[in-house]
Amino acid sequence: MTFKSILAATVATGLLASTALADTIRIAHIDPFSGAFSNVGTVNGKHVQFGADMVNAAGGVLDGDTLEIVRFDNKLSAQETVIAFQEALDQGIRIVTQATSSGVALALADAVKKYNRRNPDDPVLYLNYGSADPSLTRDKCDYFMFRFEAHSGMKQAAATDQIAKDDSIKKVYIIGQDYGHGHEVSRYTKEMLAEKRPDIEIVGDEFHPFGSVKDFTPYIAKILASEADAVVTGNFGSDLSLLIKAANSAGLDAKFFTQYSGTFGTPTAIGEAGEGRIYDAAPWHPDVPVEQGNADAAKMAKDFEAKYDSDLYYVQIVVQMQMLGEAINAAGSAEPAAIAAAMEGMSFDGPTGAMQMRASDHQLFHPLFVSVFTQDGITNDSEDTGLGWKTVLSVDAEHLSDDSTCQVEKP
Amino acid sequence: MKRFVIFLACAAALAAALLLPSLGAGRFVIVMLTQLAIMATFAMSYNVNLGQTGLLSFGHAVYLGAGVFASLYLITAIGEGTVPLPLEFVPLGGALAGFILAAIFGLVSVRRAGVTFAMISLGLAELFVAAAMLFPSVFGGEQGVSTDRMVDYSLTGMGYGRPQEIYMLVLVWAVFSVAAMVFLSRTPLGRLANAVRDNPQRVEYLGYTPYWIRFAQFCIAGTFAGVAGSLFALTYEIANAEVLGLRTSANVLIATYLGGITYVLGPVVGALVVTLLEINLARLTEAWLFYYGLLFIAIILFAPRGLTGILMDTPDAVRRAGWGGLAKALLRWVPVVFLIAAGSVILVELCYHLSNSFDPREPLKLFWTEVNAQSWTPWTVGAVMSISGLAWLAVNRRNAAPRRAQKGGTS
Amino acid sequence: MDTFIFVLVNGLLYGMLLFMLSSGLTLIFSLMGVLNFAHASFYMLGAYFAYQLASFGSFWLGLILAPLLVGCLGAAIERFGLRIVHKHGHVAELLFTFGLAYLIEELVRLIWGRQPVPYRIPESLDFTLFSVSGIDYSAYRAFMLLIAVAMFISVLLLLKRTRVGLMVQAALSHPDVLWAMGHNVPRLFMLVFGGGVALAGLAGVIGGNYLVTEPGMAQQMGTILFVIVVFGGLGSLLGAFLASLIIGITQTLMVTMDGTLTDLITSLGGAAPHATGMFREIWTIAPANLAPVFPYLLLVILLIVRPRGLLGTRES
Repeated sequence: MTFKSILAATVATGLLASTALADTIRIAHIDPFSGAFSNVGTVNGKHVQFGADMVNAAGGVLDGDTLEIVRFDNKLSAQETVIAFQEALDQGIRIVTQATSSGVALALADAVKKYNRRNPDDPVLYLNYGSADPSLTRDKCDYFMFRFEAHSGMKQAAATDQIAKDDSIKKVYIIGQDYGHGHEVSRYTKEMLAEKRPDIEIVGDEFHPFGSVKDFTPYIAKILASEADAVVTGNFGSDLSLLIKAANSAGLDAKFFTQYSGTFGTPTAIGEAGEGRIYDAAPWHPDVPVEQGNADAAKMAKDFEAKYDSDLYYVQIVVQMQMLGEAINAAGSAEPAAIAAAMEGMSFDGPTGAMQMRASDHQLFHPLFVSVFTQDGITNDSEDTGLGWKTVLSVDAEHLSDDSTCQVEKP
Repeated sequence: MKRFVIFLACAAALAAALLLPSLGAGRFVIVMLTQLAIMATFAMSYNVNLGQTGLLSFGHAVYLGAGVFASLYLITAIGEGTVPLPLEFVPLGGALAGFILAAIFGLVSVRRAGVTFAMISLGLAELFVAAAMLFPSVFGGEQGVSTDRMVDYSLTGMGYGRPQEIYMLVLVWAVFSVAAMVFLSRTPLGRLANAVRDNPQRVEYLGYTPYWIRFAQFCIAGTFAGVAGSLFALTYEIANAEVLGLRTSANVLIATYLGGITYVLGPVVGALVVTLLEINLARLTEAWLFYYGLLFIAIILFAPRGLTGILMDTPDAVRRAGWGGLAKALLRWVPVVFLIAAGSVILVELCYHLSNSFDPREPLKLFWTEVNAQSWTPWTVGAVMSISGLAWLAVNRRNAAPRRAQKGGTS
Repeated sequence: MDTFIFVLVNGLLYGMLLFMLSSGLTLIFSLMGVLNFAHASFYMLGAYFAYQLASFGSFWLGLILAPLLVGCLGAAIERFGLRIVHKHGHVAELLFTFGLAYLIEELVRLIWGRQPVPYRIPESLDFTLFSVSGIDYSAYRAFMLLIAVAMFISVLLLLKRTRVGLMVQAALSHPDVLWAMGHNVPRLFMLVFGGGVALAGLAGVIGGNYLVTEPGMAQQMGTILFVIVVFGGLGSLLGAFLASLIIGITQTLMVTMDGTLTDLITSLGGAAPHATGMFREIWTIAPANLAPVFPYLLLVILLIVRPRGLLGTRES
């Protein structure tokens, strides 16, 4: 036996041994974990970790392999995201997840797409846990990218259903941030209301500068002058809190239809000022398991709160990790190409109901809840404010609508 | 002797920059090096204003951005075959864009230096950023503008798909730009600019117009910022209006100043250190912003001529104290500084772990061990270390003060 | 007419909040030449201190103590930080405050967490006081105005009537002479820096609950304060006051105005322009979209025409 053959034998047995032992499947989570947007990044990070832990606690994937989350701080900068992506590639990671900020999501989608085109034999899977921008599953849809939460258009479809149901609403005022998401919300609202309730008059369609308005009173004055019964907004963060606080102090008692009132300190910032007049369209709120009588989901939310001292905001992130686990098992492999093939068209029994990954554009369809911010009949409050959310309309996955015609190209 | 050492250091750095990719550095290292080269060019161009001409600008990112967007469109045009230009010459387009914008803005802003100039530059930058947000048709809104640098038309015949190839191109242009700016600083114009910085009245008596000298320097700075923008576009292939913002402008000011504005190559040193810290510190600790801020303040407090100043003063200090004296001083000060630093790091890490980590109950990885942040032991160790170090320092400083006075004030 | 009154009232209310922030900055900037980039951070600290004190005791405790705490902190920072940097020049001082802003934001995040805190308007002031053209104004907004006016008057009195005030005024116009006369200028600097940031802290106390108290609130304030200070002119409190009001009123006015270039052309009888190609948005931009940048436009134009600012006594 020559030295070379001994070496070869050793390497071969080593390889065999390592495949037989339980492996970890690493997933790069790229998000802002420091600086100005770390509030969003860390909370999302907790959800990703929680989802992976749940999969691992249930026995992991394949033959006891575990999911491991490797976090990369992108400081919400597109360049740093690209650099972090390269670092993840260096470490041999071929599954990435991200969604904080649509701008960064589009930059990462672009980088992943280019990498996959330039390295067709070694593709990367991009799991987007919930960017608002519809274009990710429209003109930018891609075989190796999956989105696990409804985009702003789909949420607006649910919100307009609720508006259509409410006969007291005759006039609607649309106000939003002057950038992609705000414009999308405005466009969808106008299109959908024209179809669902042609008698409703759009009395205003306003865009305000993003993140730089401190005094919303002049805008509220315009809304008051228009005599609107409902205000539709895609605002989030302080733009949303300030808008609602200004409305309250100026004595505007219209209903607000939003998409981000339930998360990241907004309930805290709004407080009692918003009681009974803020409606939110989202895949989750703390009382969903109570209303559905789903003990497993209730336990999941409790576990999350106990572990991380924070409300469970984004059930879809947890769903994403669970679906990843199922797809790996179904494919019998953790190779991105195999996972993508298994994920396409996959059905999943999620904590809020049945879900379906649409094969054509890789957008997940899941239940959505339009709920109102209130004190009455609430079991679990939101962010310890004493107020919580009560469902007024629930839309299951089959009835979600999205008019995307994108068709992913199989490589 | 000193010149020779500097020359040697530059040559060694360049050789390392050229050799690293062929030594099998990963994608991450390559992209990081590319970012370093871009930032070095950008900081050098900034110092044409600040260090050489005494113009403190808060809006230098605008000229970088002009180069970025011009180049993105140019690369797309080359790819479509409408512009017959090899990819290697794209930075010429960026330079032109930077120059044109600097010439327009320069005309109205360089009449005065000092606060007036600084505030005009801030105002123009805010106007330009706002305009960029208002025109998604040009700047792409949140999605940004993207392109593909694999255009099949290059001088060398390389495809520039791989990071190594684009790194070489960026490096060549960065070295060329830095050399050109060093050369320009030695021309009569560069000397006159120094004179205008120090005493504009006297220059006026000599028969020159400070306004036009400032204007010429401002245009040079804008041109090379445009080149840096091109390199950015070539590397990342996507950008949105955020690159124009105050964050980028502040970053280059910080890098340049920390490097040392009175040295020709100071900005290069600053760009290297700041970029390396920004990218890598976050990979070591959650508290990186805190350390970054502290380090930044410490350098401003104790090293007014920047990092290059420290490097340049070291040989003199060695000569004065002798190697023995230096060793003695090091022996005397290094342990105590180390004690304080290590103690404070322990405390800061513990604080961050308790208040910001996902789960404070999990053990904290500290240096080589793991500790429980919720027990008293690590806190006591950290506190004892830093307090004893500080006490030692306080006592010795009191003892050292009279001795220093005898020596004649230098230490 | 209704709109006119609304614009005036709302502009005044908003402008006075801006003035509370910029008055301290203008004193610091005029006297020490320091562009204090951390000024809004002291505003944030004021809000957080007040929140903490309000959760211990009452809002009124915070109203008195929080600005004092912020002032002491500011004086200490001047004494042990800024004073050392002073000899390295203005750029070093500016960058020092820059680094300080970073640190304060990180500290706030460390102590109070990353999400907004529930700092609320005191219930005794949370009722509608008066209405202007259909808009209710709460007693708290009137209270904010009252505090701002009281602050303006007392700072003016302090400057005109007291010995320290006279020294500050002398230092504003002839800093070197004051040295020569044997006054303790460094101590004056410390007092002014501490006092200036205390005013910002006060603005935080009464602005933090009206707006949102969160770690990003300093950054969101942005550079608008510098615009006010430079626009008003170095060394002029009255200039800063006027600049704040002008900006407050124009902001409200621009949001209230409707209409785009397309509307203008069609109202003049022209055909609506075909919006295609690059820069097509120009036809649909409303004045409200331009409101936040309008101050910067004013600033650039003013500085080109009149570099000393509105009421400035000297250039720099």
